[in-house]
Amino acid sequence: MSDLLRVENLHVSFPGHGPGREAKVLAGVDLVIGQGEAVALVGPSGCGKSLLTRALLGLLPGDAAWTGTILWRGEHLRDPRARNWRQVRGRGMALVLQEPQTSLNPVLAIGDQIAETVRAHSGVSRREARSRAVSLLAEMLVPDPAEKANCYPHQLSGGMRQRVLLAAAMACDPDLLIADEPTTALDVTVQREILALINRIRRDRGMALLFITHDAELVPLVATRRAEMSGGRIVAEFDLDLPADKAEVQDTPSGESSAGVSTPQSKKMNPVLKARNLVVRYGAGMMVRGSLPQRTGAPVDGVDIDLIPGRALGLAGESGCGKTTLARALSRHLVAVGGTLELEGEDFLATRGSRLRHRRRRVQMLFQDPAGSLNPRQIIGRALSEAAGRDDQAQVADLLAEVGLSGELAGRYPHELSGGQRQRVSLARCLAADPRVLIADEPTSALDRESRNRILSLLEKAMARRGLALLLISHDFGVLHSICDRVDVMYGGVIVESYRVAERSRIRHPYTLSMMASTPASLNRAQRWWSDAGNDPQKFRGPSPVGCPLAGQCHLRKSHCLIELPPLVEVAEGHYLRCPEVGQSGPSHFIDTL
Amino acid sequence: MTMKTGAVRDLFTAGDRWWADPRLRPGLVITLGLGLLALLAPVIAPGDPAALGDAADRLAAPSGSHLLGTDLLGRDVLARLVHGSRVSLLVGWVSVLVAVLLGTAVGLAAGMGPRWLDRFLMNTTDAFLAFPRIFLVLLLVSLTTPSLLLVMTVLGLTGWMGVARLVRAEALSLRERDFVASARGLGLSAWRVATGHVLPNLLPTVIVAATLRVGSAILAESFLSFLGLGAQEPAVSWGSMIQQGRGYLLDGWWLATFPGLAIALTVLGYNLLGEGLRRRLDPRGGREGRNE
Repeated sequence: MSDLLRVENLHVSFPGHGPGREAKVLAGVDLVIGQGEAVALVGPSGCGKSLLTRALLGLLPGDAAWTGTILWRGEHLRDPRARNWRQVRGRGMALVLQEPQTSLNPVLAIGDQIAETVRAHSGVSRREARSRAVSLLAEMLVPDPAEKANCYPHQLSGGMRQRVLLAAAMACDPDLLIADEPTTALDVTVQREILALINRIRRDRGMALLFITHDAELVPLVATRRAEMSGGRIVAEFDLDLPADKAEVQDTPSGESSAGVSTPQSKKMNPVLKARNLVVRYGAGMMVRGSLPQRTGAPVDGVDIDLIPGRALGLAGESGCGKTTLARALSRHLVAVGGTLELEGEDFLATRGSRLRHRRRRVQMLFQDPAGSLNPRQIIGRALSEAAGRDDQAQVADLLAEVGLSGELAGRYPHELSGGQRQRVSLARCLAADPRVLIADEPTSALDRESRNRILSLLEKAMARRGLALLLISHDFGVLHSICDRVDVMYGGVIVESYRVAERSRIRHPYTLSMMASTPASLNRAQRWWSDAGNDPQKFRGPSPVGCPLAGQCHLRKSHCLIELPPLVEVAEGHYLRCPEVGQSGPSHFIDTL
Repeated sequence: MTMKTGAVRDLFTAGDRWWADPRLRPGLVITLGLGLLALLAPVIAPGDPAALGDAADRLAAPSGSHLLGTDLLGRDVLARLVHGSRVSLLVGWVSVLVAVLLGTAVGLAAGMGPRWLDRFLMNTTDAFLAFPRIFLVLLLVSLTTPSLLLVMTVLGLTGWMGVARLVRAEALSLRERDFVASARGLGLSAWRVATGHVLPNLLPTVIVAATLRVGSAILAESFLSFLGLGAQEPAVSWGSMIQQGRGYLLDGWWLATFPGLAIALTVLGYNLLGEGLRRRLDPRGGREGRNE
């Protein structure tokens, strides 16, 4: 009976419900984790997963009341302040959270932060703690650990920061690692790296793992048991076969059939928003262009975009590739310094003043973070009527109905709604302005599967009903393929491939393929192709500054790839590619599953 | 309007434990109690603060008939104390109101407007900050006849800079939020975005800043009255009471002690209130958006 953690009938409740409090409770949770076991906890947002982790560590907010039993190695944990519980935190149980940025102190070097954790749990000297920190970083596969230890959090990428957090968590060799959505805020490629790392650490140290996520796809990669949580209780538990080397995951929500796409087949209509050779730069740095086609390192470096009414264009790429900058340039939140931008035939770049304020309503943007996109002090109904420009209650009710929400929400504040509802209200607000173009910037990454599908279907309906042109930005190809007609893949500020979703078997740009190789659903076959070619999908670095952005890591590269940016060429009807090296050898045998 | 009252209402309904907060409760009790006192001064005070007593009653120690004693002219100290609260609170509130209005306007314009405006306003603010406040106040006040109105105006005109900086910083940060970008995207005018979206979200910060400044404004007023530059006779102020009593610390300790305690208690009350409000608002602001 080697139970590490045993939870019985755990109830957590909060006193007093005002208009601002959603009922967050745990209603009788039973959970057992044995030595070395890996358990995944899945559930929709608001079901109490994070609350459970706080309860396990004795870190519930001051006004929470809890009853039930928590046993750690057979010992009861009752009083959060008692010594036994304090010792368990960090040494027995370690916690890794979702947001690497906010979990790290911005003014301390990361080596010092890890060393601090080491010293807190063992009385070693400062120097020794520091060297332990460096060896932990090395264990987490951080390149140049000694140097990186002197870096500050803002100098590191998201994936790197998460490794730092893992290093800190491992500092005292815990028996149980609780990872609360550790990869949700990361890119798909980095996500896989971190998950592989967690797996390795677990196996090396014989550590148990409680992995919390809302993304069911990730579960088989790390866990042997899956617990489903809903409404504050664990409602089901399944044992899974061993992860990772098995065949593809069966429940692939993002791979859902695109057969249902019913965007009206419009003939070659005039684009409502047209961008040619758009260049967006931050700050005043001027880079010199030589005679050869060059990139200048700007976040958007010569991009052409056509947005056609009734059609959806997908924009794919990792974060940092310039997608969001492009989106802001298209909606005139940023001003492009080069190229042209036309809205309904009119030069959008030159528009300013009150004409700009009038015209820009035509291009609406839906943001990624549902929490930040609504004014927390503004009642939903007022926000919608403000967006519409008229105080018309009937119209507000119609807008809410259009996004599938009841009219009574009009009197509420944003914090009284769930994330999915907030996202829908944001959509309603965009629609209230009667736009011609809708730019959705990662609208689904912060949502659970149900809300995600709902938003996507709402976008489709809005497109059909209103003849909107949609630009959907995402790093998730499953999402893109489900509603878009065409996908542009962006890397290093340029478009590297553009293909029709219906003909996606033709995808062949190495960068596109490697991004797809990282999607858990297509794990095996794409991974095999990529690694057969000598690449390690887990070692993806940033774009090369000159020449083809992938040149630094591409196994097909030739000498000219490093010097000159290849042109975007139409290699087949409707399929554009920026890579002369990828011939007809196309790995089409696995793309069908997407 | 709905948005603005919502901000204040949220302060107290976001979690119903505010009554138990160890800072908020005493802070509220003290400040509200004093407010009531000042308001009802004529009714509460035992007698007329200006009533002169006979020779026997002068400089009398605290006793049954005069709970806090009498001063040199036989006037009841308690009555004077109660009436003095009016002056202190009036000056405290009005000067802070002036400072906050001015500071918020400057800060909001600097934070939300074009860069050149930001630079201009911040340079102006820095210029004002370069002067030691008390000297500036003394200078302005001594240039003409002292009066309460002058004191309030001058304190307001020299106290706005901190608020401006605070508001500007908040505005700059709010400006980057998605909902402000959305408001711009909807074609709302710069004015509407600033007043309708940014300002309501600034209010908690402003309220806290104001509350904390009331305490120091009251202190400043007492200081000026002590120097004879504030409330003039027959208006009674705690500062002038201390000034009158300072030569009698041994024989008539009650003359300066009670006003001194009153000032200390008032400032403490406002500081507690301000701190209590700040604790409610900042962690809340960070927490609430997090639930996704």
